[in-house]
Amino acid sequence: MCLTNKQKEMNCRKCEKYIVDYLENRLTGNKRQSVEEHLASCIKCVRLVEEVEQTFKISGQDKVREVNPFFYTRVMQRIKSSAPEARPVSFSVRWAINTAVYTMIVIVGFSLGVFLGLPSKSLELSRENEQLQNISEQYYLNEHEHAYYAQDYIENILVTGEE
Amino acid sequence: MNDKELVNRLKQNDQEAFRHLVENYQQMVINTCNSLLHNIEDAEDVAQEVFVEVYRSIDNFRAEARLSTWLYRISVNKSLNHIRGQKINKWISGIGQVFSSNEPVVNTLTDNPENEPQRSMEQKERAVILNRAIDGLPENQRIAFTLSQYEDLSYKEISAVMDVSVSSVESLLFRARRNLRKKLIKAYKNNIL
Repeated sequence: MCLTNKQKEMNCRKCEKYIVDYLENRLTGNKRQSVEEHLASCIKCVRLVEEVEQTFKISGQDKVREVNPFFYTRVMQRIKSSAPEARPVSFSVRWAINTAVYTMIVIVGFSLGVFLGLPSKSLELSRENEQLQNISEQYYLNEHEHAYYAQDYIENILVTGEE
Repeated sequence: MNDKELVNRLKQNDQEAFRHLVENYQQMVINTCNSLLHNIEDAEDVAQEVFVEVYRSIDNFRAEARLSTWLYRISVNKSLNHIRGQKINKWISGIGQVFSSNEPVVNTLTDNPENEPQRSMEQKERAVILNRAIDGLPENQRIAFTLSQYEDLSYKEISAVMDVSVSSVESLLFRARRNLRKKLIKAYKNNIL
């Protein structure tokens, strides 16, 4: 029976799904038979199975056969050149340090919040300065107005000769 | 010199005993590191760290454990730390480059075909695909699989190194083999199917 491409693709997909169980000899009965039948007719799936198995088999073969003759010398150089590693900090010390750090963060955060929440002296001073500036501006305007009226008054006398 | 005598002499800061330890176990330690790192230079570097730690912390060694078990444990831990460090470095230097590349990441001596001219090109390509698949396994499965396949350790020895039960090792190895085959199928199917 000639399979359509779609049917063949489906079979390949199903076969791919069962390949691991097939290779581990965990397939029995109809499933094993159908996988074997598919493998007998599909060269691509056969190649896939072969590649997977051949690659799987080389695991463990890649071993180091020769060791650098200066390995011991290098280890000794490393021991001499590097200072002993710092002793690992015990859990209780780490807990104490963490607690201290978090407490400090909370205190700083709280203080900052309080500091920003209260009206500061500089703010008060700036408000005072603003008030002073308003007063001086007002004074300047008043003075300017007086001078204008005075000039007007003098000009009027000069023109009309009357006070 | 047996392990017990060796450990006693090491605890007395005997330099000759330390030389004996390094010479006896260097291949085992380098192999273990290499099987996890897939890079002989990195493996030698990490193996040196392993012996430095042994030299400094031999007083912490418990007499009931086997010396080789202790060495395996330090080798695995140091190698995994090295991998984590590499991952962080890769992330810092631009992880996008790794993801954008479809080419195999050829960054190791064993991965590099030019380093082993005697091996066929096909075998080298297989080794690269296999190493990438092993690296993709969950950490515990990777350790168990590596110790079993590359060091030929028994389930009992692996359980001692990993500090888990023998049944856990069996389960880890079963899942590791299964996942490895699944990863290999995934790696090959795009090229074949």
